[in-house]
Amino acid sequence: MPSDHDKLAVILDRTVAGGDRGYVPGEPLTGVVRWSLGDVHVSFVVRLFWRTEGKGTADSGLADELSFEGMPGSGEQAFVFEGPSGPYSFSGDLVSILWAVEAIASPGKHVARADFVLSPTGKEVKV
Amino acid sequence: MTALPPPTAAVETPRGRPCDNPFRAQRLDALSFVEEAVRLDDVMQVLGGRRYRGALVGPHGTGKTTLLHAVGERLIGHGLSPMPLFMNTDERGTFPARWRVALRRAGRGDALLLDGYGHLPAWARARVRLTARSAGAVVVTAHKRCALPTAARTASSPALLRTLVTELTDDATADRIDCETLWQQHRGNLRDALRALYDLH
Repeated sequence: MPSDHDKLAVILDRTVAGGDRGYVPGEPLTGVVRWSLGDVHVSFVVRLFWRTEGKGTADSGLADELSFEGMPGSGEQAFVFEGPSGPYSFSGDLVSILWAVEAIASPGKHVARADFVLSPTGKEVKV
Repeated sequence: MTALPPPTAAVETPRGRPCDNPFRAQRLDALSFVEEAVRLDDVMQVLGGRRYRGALVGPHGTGKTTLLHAVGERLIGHGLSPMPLFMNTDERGTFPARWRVALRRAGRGDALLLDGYGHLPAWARARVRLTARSAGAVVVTAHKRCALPTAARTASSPALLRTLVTELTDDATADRIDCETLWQQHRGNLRDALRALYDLH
C-alpha cells in the first residue's frame, strides 16, 4: 500500500550558501511538489511558514502561499518562494522555532512537509 | 595523583531540542482518546438518544477535550460538520463574540462542540441552549453537571497515565516513571502530569 509520501512530497533544492538543508535569510527557496493521487483533478496549496514546538502554546506564522488548481492526478510542480528574513530557526529550553514548506492537496487532504533551517549560518541557533 | 570527583557530582547531559521532546505540547494535544473509564460507543449511544445533545463532565485533565474531539469525528459519520469552539482561560466568565457568531450560524448540518461551556456565565449558558436549538448536535464539556444531560463522566487513573506515557515514548521509558506518584502529585490531572514530564526528559 503506498504511503502518503508516495502520494505527495515536497522536495526542497539544496542551497549552496547555507549548506545542506540550511537557508540564509533572504535566500530564495526553490523546490518541487510531486504528487500521484490517481485519476482525479487535483488542487493544492504550498505554504511557507514557521511554527513553534515545545512546552507552551503553539504559535505559527505564514510567510507566503501559492495555489495550484485543476492539476492532473499526478505530476510535478516547481515553486519559488522569496526567502524569508526571520525569525531564525532556534532551539532553547522551552521552545523551538521551525521553518517548513508544506503542501496540502485535495481531494483527500493529503499533506506533505519539508522542514528546513533558516539562520545567518545555515545552522539552527541554540541558546 | 588526580582527585576523583565527589560521588554526588551532577552529570551534565546536553538538553534535547524542545521540538524533539516527546512531552511537547503539540504531542499532548494530538493524543487520541483512550477508552478506559469511558467507551466512545456508549457515549455515542447516549447522545444519539438525546438528539445529540449532552455534556461530557469531569475534573480538569481527565480527557474531556480529547473525548469531545473523538465525538466530533464520529459525528462526521452521521453527516454532521463539527464546529469546535474553545474558551481560553482568560475568557472565563465571558461570552466570547466568536461563540455568539458561531451559535447564530449553526444549522441542522452542524455539530456544535463547545469546549469550556461550563466556564460561561449562567445567562450565557441559557442563551447557548436557546440559540443552538436548530443545530444538528450540541456537545459541551463541563466540570460538573449542567442543564444539558450528562453523556459521559471522564476520570483518570495511574494506569491511564502510564498508557499515555507509553504512547508518547515507549514501554522502557514508562517503566522508569513512577506514574502512581506522578498521578497523585497532580491530583489526577493527566495534562499537568504529562507537562511535568517535559522538564524531566
